[in-house]
Amino acid sequence: MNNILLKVEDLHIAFHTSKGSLPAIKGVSFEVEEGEILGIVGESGCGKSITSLALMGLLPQNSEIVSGNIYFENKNINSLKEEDMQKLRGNEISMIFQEPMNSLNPVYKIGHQMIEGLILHFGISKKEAKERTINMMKEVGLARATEIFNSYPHELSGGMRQRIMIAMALICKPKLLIADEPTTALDVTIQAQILELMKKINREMKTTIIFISHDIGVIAQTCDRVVVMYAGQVVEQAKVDEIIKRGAHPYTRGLMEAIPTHQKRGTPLKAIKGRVPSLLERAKGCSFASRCEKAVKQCTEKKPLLNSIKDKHQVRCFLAQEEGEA
Amino acid sequence: MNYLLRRGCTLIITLLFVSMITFVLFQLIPGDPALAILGLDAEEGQIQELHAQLGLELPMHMRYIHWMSNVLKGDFGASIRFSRPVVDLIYSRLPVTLSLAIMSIGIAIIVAIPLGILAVRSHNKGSDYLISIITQLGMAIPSFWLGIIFILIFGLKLGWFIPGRYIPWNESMIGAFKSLLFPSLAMSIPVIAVIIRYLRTSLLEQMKLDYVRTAYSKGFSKKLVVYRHVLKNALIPVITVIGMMVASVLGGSLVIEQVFALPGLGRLLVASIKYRDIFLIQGIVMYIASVVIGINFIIDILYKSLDPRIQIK
Repeated sequence: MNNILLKVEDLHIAFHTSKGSLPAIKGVSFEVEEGEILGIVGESGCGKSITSLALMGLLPQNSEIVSGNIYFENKNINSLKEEDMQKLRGNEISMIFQEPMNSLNPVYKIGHQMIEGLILHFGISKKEAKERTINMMKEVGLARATEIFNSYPHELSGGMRQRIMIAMALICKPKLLIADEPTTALDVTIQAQILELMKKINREMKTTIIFISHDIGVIAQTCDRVVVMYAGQVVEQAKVDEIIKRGAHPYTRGLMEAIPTHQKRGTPLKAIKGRVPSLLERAKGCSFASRCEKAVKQCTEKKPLLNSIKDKHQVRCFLAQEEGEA
Repeated sequence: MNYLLRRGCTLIITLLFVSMITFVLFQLIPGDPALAILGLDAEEGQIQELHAQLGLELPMHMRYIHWMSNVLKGDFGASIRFSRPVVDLIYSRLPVTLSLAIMSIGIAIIVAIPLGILAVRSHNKGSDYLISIITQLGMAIPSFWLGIIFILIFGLKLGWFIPGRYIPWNESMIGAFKSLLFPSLAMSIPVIAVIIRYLRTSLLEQMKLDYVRTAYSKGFSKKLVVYRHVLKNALIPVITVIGMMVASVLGGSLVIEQVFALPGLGRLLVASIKYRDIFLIQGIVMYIASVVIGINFIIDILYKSLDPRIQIK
């Protein structure tokens, strides 16, 4: 087994609002092995982004880690001082965001924005930083790198900007790259290219990746292992093949069924009814019960626990155990 | 170049309109310059003689064309009251107004920008609240009152400058600086308050945007994020406000010049209106209009240099 690069242990995050403190992440635990691509999937509002921002130590001001630990290379990083966290950010752990359109500073040239991280963390000269930056830009498939180096963000397309973001995140050769919906805002063809690029980075630079998406189809193409999140909890985790073939949680299956495929042509596409409960709604039982077609009485009365139904396959559902046996 | 050319054309057309409007307006307001010169009990013959001398008996459009053709040659006519060319009069008052403008805006920018940044860096903490209270006060206090207080404390009590005595730059650099410093301070305080407020709001607005998160994710501290990434973006709207204030102080500060008895353009304008000194009024108005248009032009150029997305077409 590979080394564990990142370990999240019983993480609780709450938002402070005028209506009091609302729990957004309720005891999330998962591990990321060195060299793998871990997918985190779930609908909007499930807490994927908040979890990833917590890993970066960049939670919004109105939110806070209530309890739990985050270990990076066996070092607890959520108790780190801000200055020490700054040394990790962009250097050991990097992140790319959903909106490549807005994620770059509009008033500075691309090159300027790319070299500053290198200079900050390694203190190298501008000339050397430029050289490394242009190499990295070529690495992520940006032809005409020198020209782009001297361009402003608004002069580039969405796909190019996302490549820039990826190059920028990789520039200091981080051990962990967190990609929060990196392809959501892009065209399908560009999306496929970016996914290929993520896999290439993982393969060639040995960068461990946490890949966050609401699209389980994208996750299936890219990742080694999957964590399915729902309403601030992990509801299922397993290897990607296992999830695709034997996804046990009704939510996971719902997400799978909602992917349009060639086989489903001509039949109505299934969708999960209802929506993710807001932070204000607190269910007594399973938080998915109100949307679950298979819910039985105990689902609305008791909270299910995350159980292993197989080696490295955990599910948070009362029914999964029985189905797994069947 | 093409842009500059078209910009120049608009500038000329605007000035032409301004000249027409001021010309017509000052013809319409009641009051006869001849009476202002000769006194109310002047004889009819005298008045008519003076009218002829000043060219006041011609029809309005003829007078305008006459005036305008001289203006194009750089001759704005002579002041009725001072019997001196308008250009000379404005030129003689410019050093005071320009010095006040440069000093007050200079002080305002030097003080306001660091304070605005400080307010945001300590957002929702003590110094932010303190700065907010001070800016509220700064905007509420009229500058003439500040001027009077400055004269009282720094002029009369402490004797740092002699109230009511202006020393020109060519007489004594230090003396001129002393006599202009406190008026500039009094003028700059409301400007400081306004700039801080705009900058603070603009910075806070920018801090919410996605590129700020990217900057943090590179490992920058809040200080570096503000200085290296947010400030340039946040300055774009603030430039407009600063530009408006520069234009307004370049037109001469009526109140401050009055309070400190400084021979600036503001006082010249007031005097010229009082005496129906038509050519002088028109000259000063044209000067102010050109300043405002010129400053707007500079702001446009600054915008372009700050924000590459703005295309000058």
